[in-house]
Amino acid sequence: MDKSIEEIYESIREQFLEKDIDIPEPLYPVEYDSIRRYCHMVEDDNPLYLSEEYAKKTSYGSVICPPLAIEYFATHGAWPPPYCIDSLTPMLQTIPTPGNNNINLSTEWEFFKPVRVGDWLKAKIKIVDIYIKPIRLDPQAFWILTETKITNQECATVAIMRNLILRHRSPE
Amino acid sequence: MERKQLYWEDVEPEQEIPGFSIEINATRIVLQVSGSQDYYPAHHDRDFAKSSGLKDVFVNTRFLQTALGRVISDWTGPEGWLSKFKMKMEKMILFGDTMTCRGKVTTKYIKDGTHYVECDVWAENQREVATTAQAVITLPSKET
Repeated sequence: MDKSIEEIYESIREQFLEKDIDIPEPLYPVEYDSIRRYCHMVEDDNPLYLSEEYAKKTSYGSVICPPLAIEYFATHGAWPPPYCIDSLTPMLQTIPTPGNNNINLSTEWEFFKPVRVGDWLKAKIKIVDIYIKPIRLDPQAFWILTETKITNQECATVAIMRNLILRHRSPE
Repeated sequence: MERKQLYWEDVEPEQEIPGFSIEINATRIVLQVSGSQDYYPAHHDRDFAKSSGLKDVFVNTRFLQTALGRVISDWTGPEGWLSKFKMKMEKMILFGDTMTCRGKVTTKYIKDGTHYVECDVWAENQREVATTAQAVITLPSKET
């Protein structure tokens, strides 16, 4: 017999809530070219992110990764599937919600240390809340709040991020 | 290549933070995928997006974060530090939109010897404000 939405919801909460989830470690350290392509998305030509010659004259002493880009370097990489496009995807793929369309609703970051080219980052993720709330496309969409802690090769916390995502079914 | 450094003393509450505008065209969508490495099809495959009940392809979280991060870093100069950033995506920036990002200072203060500025930054299209964010930034002081 198929489970009801409520049964699925209770099962997911029991299985995933407040459990630490390890994700595949990154393949590469923080790299210049990935930073460059990241900046190109929005025509960001900030030399602190793109030029060692410039960055040496700043208090950082070297190129730093844009703070909001660091999550990229804390993941395994996008391709080929099923590897993660961000720290959340592998976790999301294992949660058996009825819908599998994801919409990211909010992110909340706190940054503690700059991240430099050559740094190795790691991410650990935890689900801190799960609830059902209707949206136009799905009256029983699942809302998932996660917390990701990103550390560097010295095991220092460089950032913590909270992310609210909803998963919904496609309209029939 | 030189970037002007903003100092805490030069900031006033309600001060406008200049930003920029870009077109969300096919090339921008490709740049979005290239830079973010996010291959989720709702962000580049128009057929998939529409069959999922969406109006069209929409830009992803990393793209929006990058854009709003640029508003802040363009304004602060190299010694500004983004301490906290909270972003909420309420509406979508769609394929074909013109996206404009800008901001406004909300408050400034000194705490434990560190000089803070808080600001609102946002991304809007030709229809509405789509994504809003609040940032806490530290700036150098002319006195130190």
